[in-house]
Amino acid sequence: MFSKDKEHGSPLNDVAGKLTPYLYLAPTLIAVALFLLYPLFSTFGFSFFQWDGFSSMEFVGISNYVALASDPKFWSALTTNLIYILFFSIIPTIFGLLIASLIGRTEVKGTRYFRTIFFIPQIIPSVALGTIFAWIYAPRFGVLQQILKLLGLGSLAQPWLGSPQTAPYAVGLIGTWLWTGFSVIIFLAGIQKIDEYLYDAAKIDGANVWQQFFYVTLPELRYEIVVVVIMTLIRALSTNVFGIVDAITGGANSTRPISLYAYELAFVQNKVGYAASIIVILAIIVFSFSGITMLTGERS
Amino acid sequence: MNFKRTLYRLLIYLILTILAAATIVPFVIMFLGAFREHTDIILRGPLALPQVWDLKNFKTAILDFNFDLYTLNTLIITAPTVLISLFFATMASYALSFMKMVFQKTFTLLTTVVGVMIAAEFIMIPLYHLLNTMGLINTYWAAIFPQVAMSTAFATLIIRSFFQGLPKELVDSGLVDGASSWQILWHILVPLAKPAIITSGALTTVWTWNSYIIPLVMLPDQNKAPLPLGLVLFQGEHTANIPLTMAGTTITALPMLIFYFFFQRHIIKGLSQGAVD
Repeated sequence: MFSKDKEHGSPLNDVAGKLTPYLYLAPTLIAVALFLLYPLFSTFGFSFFQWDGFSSMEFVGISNYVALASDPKFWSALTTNLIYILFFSIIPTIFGLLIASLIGRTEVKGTRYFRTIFFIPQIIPSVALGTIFAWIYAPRFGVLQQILKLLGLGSLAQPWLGSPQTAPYAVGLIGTWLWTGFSVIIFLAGIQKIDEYLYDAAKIDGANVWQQFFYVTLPELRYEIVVVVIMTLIRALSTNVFGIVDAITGGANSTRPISLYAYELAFVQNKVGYAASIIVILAIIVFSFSGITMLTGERS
Repeated sequence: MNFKRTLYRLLIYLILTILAAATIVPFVIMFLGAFREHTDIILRGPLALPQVWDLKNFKTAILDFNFDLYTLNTLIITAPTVLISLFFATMASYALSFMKMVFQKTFTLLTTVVGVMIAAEFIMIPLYHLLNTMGLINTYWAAIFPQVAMSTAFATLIIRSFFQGLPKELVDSGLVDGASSWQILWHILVPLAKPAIITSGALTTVWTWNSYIIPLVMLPDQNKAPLPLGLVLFQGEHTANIPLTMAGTTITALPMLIFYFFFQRHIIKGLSQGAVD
């Protein structure tokens, strides 16, 4: 029995001989290929055509990409995404590192409860976060405005979401609120795995607190840093901000990220090919950021 | 020295408590706001407590603004998505971990890491046209199928890595007992992989419940909208009514909050994927 199985390469080939493993894999492979991979490549294909979604497609080469380079709305959306990267990804990562290393190896009772609380925003629909913060930032009967009044700082109150000067930062701060707790938890878990010996050695060498942070904590946390940066970067560029922004401003006042701009082009203005070229740029940015972060993590 | 250490600990607790409070406050605001009256917010400001604790706003949201329908739609989309993707992913993980095939590495990459990296907005445009050609736009399937693909990739990532840690002898012992490959999977491996399957199931439930882009694009018919989409549709028409918007937001978010408290260990583990152990 077993010698025959060896011929087949696997002893589990009872359903369809050599094809058995492929049979088990097929539903997943078909789902991923049809609904993820095919549309991904198709987006790339669409980006070389001019198409309104109904009539016939017209091949236009790279002219969508040429048009995009001089589209002020595209550049404005890209700038907005950069602000979101700062607030959703970079600032929470830095805050998380600082707070986690401040706590360091000190035994904190109830970490479990803090962790449970810090993860709550992750499981709430982004659009719900959008509607809650829309009220917090509201110019009339808004929560923040009332708090400032109570603190005697009423003069500082302004329509946060109502002007392009403040709106992208107001939305960005939601990201900082959303991801700081998460990043503290990940880094804290990482720090507690670092060998105490490394810190002792650094202290013997006369390293001060900052030197310990830069020469022991940071390099030892490279894996956790990669995890946090990639996760938050992807959210700052795609899914997370799309829902938050659509619910809070609908994209007005320079809060529109690239993804929302592409959505409007494809499904409201029927510029399907042009929208696809913007998505291609977005995907390249996301994939290369993730790639760079992963490589840096491996090298150091 | 001892005094200094106590002070330091106090500082740490202070920071963590402030951070925890900051995390919760927006949800408290949402919850309290859902019980207020609009005129009351105008008269007594946004920070006052509700005067009467009744469910009036929730009733209005459900009876007059379709939140019952949105909840039902969410359930109709979420339940099959989670069940189908767990079923698919379990079988795929079995093949990828215990069987030999050509291009095993490529298949593994495609059905796990690559699948997980593809965000909804990367694929929304051709997906709409594909599902339109299939005649599925405005049917629940149009929201379910893409969500199944994304969830399956994630579940395969988690379940496969769990299967990898199991001894191969489990399969051999099943074979010796004369079990078929199907029986070995469901009677030997799946019971052991329960933690990984529950983690995947919990996470995909949260993501499907919260998904916004796919339903937005695939379900233009307002009567098919799940909660997040319904909330935005409602808000677009009634922005001015703060308490009603907060009641709608609570209806959208509360089920996931409750779900989280039951499955928090699994959800936290899944969310931090190996970074926290």
